Amino acid sequence: MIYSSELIKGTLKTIVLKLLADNKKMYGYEITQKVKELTGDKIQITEGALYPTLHALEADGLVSTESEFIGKRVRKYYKLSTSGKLKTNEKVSELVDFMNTMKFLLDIKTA
Amino acid sequence: MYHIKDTQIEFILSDISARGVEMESLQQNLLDHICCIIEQELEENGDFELFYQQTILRFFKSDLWEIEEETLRLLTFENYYTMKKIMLLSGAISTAALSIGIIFKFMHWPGANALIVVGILLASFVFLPLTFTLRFKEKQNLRDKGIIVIGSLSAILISLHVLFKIMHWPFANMLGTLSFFIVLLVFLPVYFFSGIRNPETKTNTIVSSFLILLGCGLLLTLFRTPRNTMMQNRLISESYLRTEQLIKNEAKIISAKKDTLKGFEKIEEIGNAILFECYQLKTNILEYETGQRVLDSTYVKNDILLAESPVYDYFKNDEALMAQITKLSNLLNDYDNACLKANFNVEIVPFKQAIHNLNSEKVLTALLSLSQLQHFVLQNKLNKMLE
Repeated sequence: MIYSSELIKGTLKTIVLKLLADNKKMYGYEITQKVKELTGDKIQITEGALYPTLHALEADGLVSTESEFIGKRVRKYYKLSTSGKLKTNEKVSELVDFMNTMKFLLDIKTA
Repeated sequence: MYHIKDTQIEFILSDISARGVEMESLQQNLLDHICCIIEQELEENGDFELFYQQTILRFFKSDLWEIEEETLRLLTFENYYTMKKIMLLSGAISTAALSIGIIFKFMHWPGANALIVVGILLASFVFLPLTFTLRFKEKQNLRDKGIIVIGSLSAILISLHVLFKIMHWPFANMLGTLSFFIVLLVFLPVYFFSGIRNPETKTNTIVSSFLILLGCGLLLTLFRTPRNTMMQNRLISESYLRTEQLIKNEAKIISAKKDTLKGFEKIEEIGNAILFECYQLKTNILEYETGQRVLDSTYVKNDILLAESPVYDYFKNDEALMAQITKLSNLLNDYDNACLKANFNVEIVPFKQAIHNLNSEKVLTALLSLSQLQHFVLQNKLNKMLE
């Protein structure tokens, strides 16, 4: 089962920040592959959602970039800034809290 | 694993650019991403062209530039929804304040002006600019953006014109004329000719243009023409001059009798002071209004006319002038007392009110109130003489 993009949309920033926190520096394609791999193909991040998010994170100063030339093309690596690290913790605990609330709200019986 | 040639990289980059992605950093990101996919998923002797065309489709729903649009939206419009909320809220508050203010104004309840001013300011400086910004970003082509700029500008100018007018601030009429010029000579032609070209918007454009023309026409019908204003000002000036002539005649008749009236000395003394104060006030108002201290019969030839300006503006910043009103009011009280003492029966109350409110009147009303007071004092003396 692949989750709908609507569900992923609100958590994309958190997912990207968390991945960068765990993997020093990453480039776009790598991020999509990593998410696919970690979730067993259940979450597939689209390019149309990923790059706008990365640019927004960069503009907010939460991530910084490093460019690397690969032949004729340039690869942009993203890594967390100091404020990005703080933000990651904040976002992750917010999401955990949110999931607990959702569990409660939907009354999921954890056997 | 497929090896991408330099020419193929150039091809992909130019294709990304041709599909409407203009931001360089986004182009680079997409290029690297597509190259990674091709390298990972295409076999060494696979068909690059075919695979690329299939791959690129995974990036968007209908066009590749959607990604750039979404990026821009996130970058510039992080607060898009906040802006939209504030826009709707400010729109609701400003229209409510204005409508309630108008009801208050008609009912003569206090706070009407404050409500109207808040309503107009909020509309001019929050609601309209925000509406403009949001719409501006939504439109793609330059002509639509232009129409929104001109339209918002004239809407802001018109609402400021009304505000300046009711607050008696300077350049109110200039603002009004300017906004009408912009609406009729710039906005309307651009809006009309760009709208009728598109079959979808044609009917709408024509109807809207008629509505705008009708609205402007109705508003302009209410305005007095400059020539009409000139004629009105002549009538006002003549009216004032006639009254002045009457006062002069009365003074002449009275001055014929030189000897003092017994028991009337005090009243006469205060009366003379009142006549002098009235004269002073009138001279000062005239100077503010026309630049001349006296209005004589050469006024028409020299184009020195009284207009319907409120004297409030003249009194507002002139403490000496305000002090003259206070002095005159005190003199009137003294006059009243003196008349009572001398058993001289006069009805002075209406003058007290008129002088007290002098600074909130229009020029002619203020001048005539002062002239009538002079008549009153002179005629009292005349009555005494005839006793």
